[in-house]
Amino acid sequence: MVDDAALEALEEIRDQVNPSISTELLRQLMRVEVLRAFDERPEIALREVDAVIDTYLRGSTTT
Amino acid sequence: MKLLTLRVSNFMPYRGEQVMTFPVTGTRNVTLVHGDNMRGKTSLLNALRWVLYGEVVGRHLRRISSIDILNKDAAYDRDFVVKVSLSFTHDGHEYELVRTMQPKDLIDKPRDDDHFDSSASMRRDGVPISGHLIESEIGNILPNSISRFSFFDGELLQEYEQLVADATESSDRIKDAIERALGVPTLINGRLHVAELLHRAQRQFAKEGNKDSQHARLMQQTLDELEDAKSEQTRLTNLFHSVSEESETLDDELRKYERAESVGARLKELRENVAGLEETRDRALQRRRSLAPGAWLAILSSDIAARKEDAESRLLQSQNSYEESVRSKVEHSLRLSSLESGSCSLCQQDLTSAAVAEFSRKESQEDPSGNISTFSNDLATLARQLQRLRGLGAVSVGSEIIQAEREYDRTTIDIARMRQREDDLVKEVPGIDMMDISRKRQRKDLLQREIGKLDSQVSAQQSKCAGIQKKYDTLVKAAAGGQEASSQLIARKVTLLSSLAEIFEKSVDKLRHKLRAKVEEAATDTFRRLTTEKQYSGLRINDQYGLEIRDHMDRTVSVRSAGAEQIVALSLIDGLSHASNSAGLLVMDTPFGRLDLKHRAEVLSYLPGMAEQVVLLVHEGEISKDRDLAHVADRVSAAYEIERISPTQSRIVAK
Amino acid sequence: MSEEERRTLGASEFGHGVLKRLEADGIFPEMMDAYRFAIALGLSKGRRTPFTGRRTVFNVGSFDKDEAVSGVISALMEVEAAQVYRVAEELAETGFQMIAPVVDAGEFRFDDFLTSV
Repeated sequence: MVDDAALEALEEIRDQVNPSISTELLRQLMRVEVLRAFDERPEIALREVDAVIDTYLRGSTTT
Repeated sequence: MKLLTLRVSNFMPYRGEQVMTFPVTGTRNVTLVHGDNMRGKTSLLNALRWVLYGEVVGRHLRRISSIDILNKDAAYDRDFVVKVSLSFTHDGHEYELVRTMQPKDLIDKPRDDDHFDSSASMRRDGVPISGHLIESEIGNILPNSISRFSFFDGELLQEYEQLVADATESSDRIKDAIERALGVPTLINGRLHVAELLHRAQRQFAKEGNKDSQHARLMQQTLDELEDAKSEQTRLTNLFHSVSEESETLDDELRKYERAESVGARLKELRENVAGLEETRDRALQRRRSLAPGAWLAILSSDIAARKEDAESRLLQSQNSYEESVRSKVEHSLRLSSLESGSCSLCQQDLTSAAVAEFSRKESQEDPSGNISTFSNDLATLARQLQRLRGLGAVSVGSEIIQAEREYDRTTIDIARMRQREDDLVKEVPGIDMMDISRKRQRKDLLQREIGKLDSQVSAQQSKCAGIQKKYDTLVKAAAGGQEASSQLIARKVTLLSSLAEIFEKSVDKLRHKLRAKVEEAATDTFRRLTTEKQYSGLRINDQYGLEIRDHMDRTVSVRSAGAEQIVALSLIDGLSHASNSAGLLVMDTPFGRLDLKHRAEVLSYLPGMAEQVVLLVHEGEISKDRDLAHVADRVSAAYEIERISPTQSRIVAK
Repeated sequence: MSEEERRTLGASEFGHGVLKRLEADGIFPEMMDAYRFAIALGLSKGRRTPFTGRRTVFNVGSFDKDEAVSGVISALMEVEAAQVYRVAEELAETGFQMIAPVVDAGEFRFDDFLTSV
């Protein structure tokens, strides 16, 4: 479940700040945040966000 | 989320197991539950809260303790187990959630919260979910923080009205809840996580070093500076929050004191009045005592007066008789002398023979001497008596004594009345410590000044951090050029995370702005449908999520009836559910109290469309079966009545 | 009548009890004031109440220094001078019987006596 309105906002700002960042990355980050919103262990969300970013970096050649 | 079945056992007024189902077929998506006040409608809402979140709330959102959750009759019969099961569907899955509360081992008769153990079990499509994941699972379906917009109770309406009236702590809570419903916190959390990862990446980048050691040292130095600056920012922000919190708490206490102070002033005045009256009363008593020695005469004053009057008239009579007899005696002497001399003793003329005969006759008839002495004695006695009586004629103190006693009575009654008033006032407010109030006021003033100072300091520190961050980013970019592969990866990560941090930062405000507009549009649409007032053109939403009604000239409508407030609140709810990740469920407890007939009809017609599944908990006085329910009759899929068996038991009966 | 009896005023045990109660309740500054009040009540009703078991309470000389009491009794009743204080005692006994109920109830009020006689 991804928060559509939040994603839309992210995309709009992304277009202004750094258009090379993919929508898919933003979507995956949001997915983690939504899933872990009520988890009492904050480090889990942090780890998962970190994993998403690392995967993204390894997969892409430019930032 | 769509409810299927609710089972409650020994929960609040429900003794033994009782079941409700919530069918949804086609357009029939409304379950009606009738029940008069204090029978168990709100307990049904609480059963849902309890099975989902393990908590039950009463008025003003106060938590109800475990012993009060247990049905009283069940407790009396020593059946101490409370159980609520809820089966529901969500996102294509079927769930079964059970929460149980029972006495701890070795507790024979539980009396308070500590004596109970509570546990929950959950299955998704028949597969058990691990205990520690249950809360998280529920949070993904219907988070507690926004559950109040699905479990809509009458108190929420009142809180919402408070939100519009002024920005208080409770309105901040609602604003928070609304923002959660709209998904704002996910962005805020994202911002925090990205910022933390950026920071770690920056450290790692600095540690791995680069070819230019001087550059590396500068980078490390800048990073350290940045860390210190951020620490200081966190410290200042935390201090700011804690001081603000303390100030708000003091505010609440001082508000309570203001009321207590005014009562205290009245009490003081009252006590002074009582003291004054007591003095008056004591003086009256003293006065009575000082006049008491004269009371015996006051008793006899009328008798004495009568006797005096009588003596005076007898004295007068005696005096007249005495004078009469003295005059007789003188006449007798003169006559005798005249008879002896043959001439009148007064004029010396010779007596005529007729005169001689007359005088002789009178002499033979009278002898006044005896009378004179009798009258003389009587006179003396009467004179003595009268003198004695007159001597008693002291000022009568009778009326003064009575006056003193009446004053005593009056003041006694006044004192009793005032003491009663004093007791009432004392009950209104427990001990008031004036010194404590004064100390708190001083502290509040000090805190206000602190807050002002801290606010500037936090802003200044934020600017400082931003400046150092910029400097570091420049250094990173410059270093990234000539790196080893792994260092390059870190450098790219730092750059990516910097961008993401900025994106998340700016998105939060953007989202808020967008969602407010969305909520406003949806709420306006609902409002126009529900209101019967044709002059109203729509709603506008402010920063606090307060809704203003706009008229056809786009002016704010300032005076709103209780009914209008309810419509506005319902419009907000509907607006939120359209704009947010709605759970698709709406359980409403007594929502119609202050609506007039016309509005009731509008709202009732609209409600079934507000969510995929609607459960209405109503009471007779609020909604008439014949007139009002006709508006939703064709949307109702199930109806129940909560019947009262006794003050401690109710029963859910299907209609 | 003994010499002692001629020069003193007495009361019955009952009357004595009433006098003590009135003194304890602080209604009159002195017991003599209370005794005079009782005499006045008896006199206002014109009723004498003989009694036995006499207890001496006051000396006539100090009780009726200005002969106001004997004067009033003589003024309002046909009494031999030598008997006036014996009569006073019996009048007081009547008065004590009237006062006793309200004193026992703790509700002595001059108002009640002053407005009814």
